Amino acid sequence: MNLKGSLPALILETLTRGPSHGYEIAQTIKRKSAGVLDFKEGTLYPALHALERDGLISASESLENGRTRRTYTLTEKGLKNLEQERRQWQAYSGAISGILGGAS
Amino acid sequence: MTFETWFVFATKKIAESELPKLRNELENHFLDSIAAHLQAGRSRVEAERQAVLELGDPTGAARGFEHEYLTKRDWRRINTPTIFSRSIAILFVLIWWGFCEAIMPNLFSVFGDKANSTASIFRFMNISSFAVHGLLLLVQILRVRISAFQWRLCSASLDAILGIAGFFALTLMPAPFTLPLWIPWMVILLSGIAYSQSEVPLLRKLRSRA
Repeated sequence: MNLKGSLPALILETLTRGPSHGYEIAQTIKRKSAGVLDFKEGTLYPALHALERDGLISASESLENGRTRRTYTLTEKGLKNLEQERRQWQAYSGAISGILGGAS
Repeated sequence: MTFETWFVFATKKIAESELPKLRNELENHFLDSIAAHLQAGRSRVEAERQAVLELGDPTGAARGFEHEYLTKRDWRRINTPTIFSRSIAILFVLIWWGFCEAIMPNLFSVFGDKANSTASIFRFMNISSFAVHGLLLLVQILRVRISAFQWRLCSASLDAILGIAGFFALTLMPAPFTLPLWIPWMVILLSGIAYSQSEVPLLRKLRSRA
């Protein structure tokens, strides 16, 4: 299963709860998947920056405890993309469940 | 391993211009991770050790970074006059083509109607690509301000279109009689296709910086 391919959709879904920064996004995905999905920095930040480049999320910088923090927010385009991803995933997982679920 | 050694290893191929943004993000992530471990009751040393472990394999991270960010190699490629030299090379080939056509005026008329229509296609391609590459060269000489992305996209698209069109046009031409024209054209057109293909990853990275 290509976990990396699903990361952009997982990031977008995480951001529907409100603006967030990289560490928080990674921790939310890890927690909600009960530790199964644990994306490292080498995967997470390129994916975040690719989403930003495609206009699906936007980033703003703020100063926090003397550190410059980048906070990511879901854009309108990102929300539309997420809805499309959700539909595709539901169709896909439904089809796989239909086959594997009946195998036993 | 410390954060610093991990970062140096994971970003050793990344261009200097990309490093500040990347360092800022990764450093914040690392410090957040330490803070979370300290909050969970671990000692400072153990928290730092865990945070480094959570950074993951630097080789894998390096692959991810190289795919998304400009590498030192990309940077060299952007700053070397590759397109400039390609335009000059193509112009020379086109001049050679025109020269062959001038000294062998009957070359295209001895094959009947098919050869004449083929010659028209070639003549059109020759004149149009001469004009476009001449313009590209002029733009570079005059240093017209356009972004690296727009510039490379224009050049790579042109090479891909010319390459594909030229390939089909060449298949119409009776090769044994046109070898002096056929070989340089074939070389330049196929290298054009290869060149435009190799530009795709770089164009993707430059798109966000346009």
